[in-house]
Amino acid sequence: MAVNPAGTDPGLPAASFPDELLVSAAKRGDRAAFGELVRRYERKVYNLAYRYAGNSDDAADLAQEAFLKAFCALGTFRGRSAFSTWLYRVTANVCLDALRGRQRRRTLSLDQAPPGREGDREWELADPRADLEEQVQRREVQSAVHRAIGRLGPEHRLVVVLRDLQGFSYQEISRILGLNLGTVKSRLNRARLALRDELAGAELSSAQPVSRSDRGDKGAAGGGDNP
Amino acid sequence: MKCDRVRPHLSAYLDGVIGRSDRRQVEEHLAECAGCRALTEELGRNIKQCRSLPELAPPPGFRQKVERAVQDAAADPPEAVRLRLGRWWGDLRWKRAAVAVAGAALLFVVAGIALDERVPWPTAPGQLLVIDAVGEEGEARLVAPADAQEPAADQRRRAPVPPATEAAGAQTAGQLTLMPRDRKIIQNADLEVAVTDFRRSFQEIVGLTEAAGGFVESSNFWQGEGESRGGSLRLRVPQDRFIDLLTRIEEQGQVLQKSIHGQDVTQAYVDIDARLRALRVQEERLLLILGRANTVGEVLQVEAERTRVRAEIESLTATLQQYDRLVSFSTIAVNLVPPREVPPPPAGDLWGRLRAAFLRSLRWLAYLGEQALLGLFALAPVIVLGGATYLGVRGYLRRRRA
Repeated sequence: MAVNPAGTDPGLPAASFPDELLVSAAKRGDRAAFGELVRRYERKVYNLAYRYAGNSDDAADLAQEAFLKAFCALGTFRGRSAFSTWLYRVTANVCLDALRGRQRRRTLSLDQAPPGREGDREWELADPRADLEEQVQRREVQSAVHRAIGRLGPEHRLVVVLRDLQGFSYQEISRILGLNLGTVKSRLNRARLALRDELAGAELSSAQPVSRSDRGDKGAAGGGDNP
Repeated sequence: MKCDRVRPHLSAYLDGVIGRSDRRQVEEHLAECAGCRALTEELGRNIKQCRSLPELAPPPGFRQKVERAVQDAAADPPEAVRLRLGRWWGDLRWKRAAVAVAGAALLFVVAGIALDERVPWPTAPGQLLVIDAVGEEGEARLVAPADAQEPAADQRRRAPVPPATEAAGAQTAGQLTLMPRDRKIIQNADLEVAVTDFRRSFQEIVGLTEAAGGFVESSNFWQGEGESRGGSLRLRVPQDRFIDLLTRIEEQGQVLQKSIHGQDVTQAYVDIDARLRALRVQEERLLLILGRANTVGEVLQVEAERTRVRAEIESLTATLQQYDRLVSFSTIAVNLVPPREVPPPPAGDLWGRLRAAFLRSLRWLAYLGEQALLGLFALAPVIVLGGATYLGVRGYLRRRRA
């Protein structure tokens, strides 16, 4: 990628530039600089959207819209916070807005959504030696957690994803969501309690150790991914 | 009881972002409450489970799609315009509200000015001209405002002069308007003119009057403190030069006050004339009777009657002559006064100028506010009607959709 945001040395790889330089270049209309920013943050943005939306198709749409919004609104970014924080904030707002728009049309069908084929693949690559039984069990748990998150309210979902999946600090979350620390704390507390209720409820509804054939929705997805 | 107070802190406790005293309370409670201990463990386990969820790679081609979308957005003019506008305006709600309020206020002010019945910026109090030359005691009155700049021109413009005679000039125009040929109208004018050079104006007016074939009936003048002096003149002028002379006197200075009265005496004149003729016939008859008188007693009796008739004839003739004089020579009373003190301009004094500017803008604001209020009321029917229509249509659509 031939990016030269500083206008000095065209030979320097874009990956070595700090965000600020790339942002100011993108503000001037350098789409390649913005492309480098997309490369840096697509993973985080996509995952935030994925865990929020619950399925990869909606997640890709949301993430793309977030980047598009960010590009269009670059002029309003004053550099008072890190670009990444600002970008996550834009993403969070896109997610909340999308859900608001969607709730009016149809109820979100997170339960039926397949729990991320790419994720399973990644996980398998990350832990190739784990034995099959354990793999299956872990995937059951992950799938249950994923669906439980999907059943939370949008605001609880967002704060849980940011904190417990993406590992942002309270400070960062408060900047991303535009809330003060106390609100983040109490909201996260309520969200975690709600998540625990969801998980406990899921366990109750399938008191027996879950077998793959019992869970049709999950079995279809898992079966496709399992070698 | 205690559990309820501890539970809000469990999340922060697990993350280690809790104050020391809160932490001690939580730990003390957890040591003795199995339920909360189990809950805390469960929450901790959930957090771990959440963390175990893998981070996924975006679907293949995701970055290319984003870059294409960005390129489209940059190339799409409407989007770009919207965004540039968006950069200026932001999308904050209060800004939109402010714009809406400003627009409404502007609309109200414009509507208020447009729908105001008053002339919005009156140049001068309107002149009033009432002409009733046919009435019994008809009066023509022209009241000029104290500060009218061009009273002559005003008068020419406002007097209901037939277009054909207008060309003949102000003099004949006024003549025709105020003095129908066969009418007997006594014209009087009162003028108050502020002049700078009293002596020059006085002499000029006397000269003008004599040139017009008139005369000065009486005059007086006074000397005040310092340079201030004034005076008054009572002029008689042939009726056909009345308006002309009036106009010329007005040119001497600033007209402070002006009034013209026309008294129509036609009816009285005709009555007296008729009575006079009857009396003359009676006198002739008495003379005939006198010639046939036989006794001294008869002669004396007729003679006494004739004397009475004669006296009445003479009295009435005198009245008619007086009328004729008054009608043929109009009266103009001119009062010459020194110019009024002009309030000194506030220039120089900064404080005064500041105050004046402040008051001026305050008056402007008050004017705008008045007009906005007027506009609001003027548009109220439209707003009410439009709002009712809107609500009605919306309600109908909703019901239909439902």
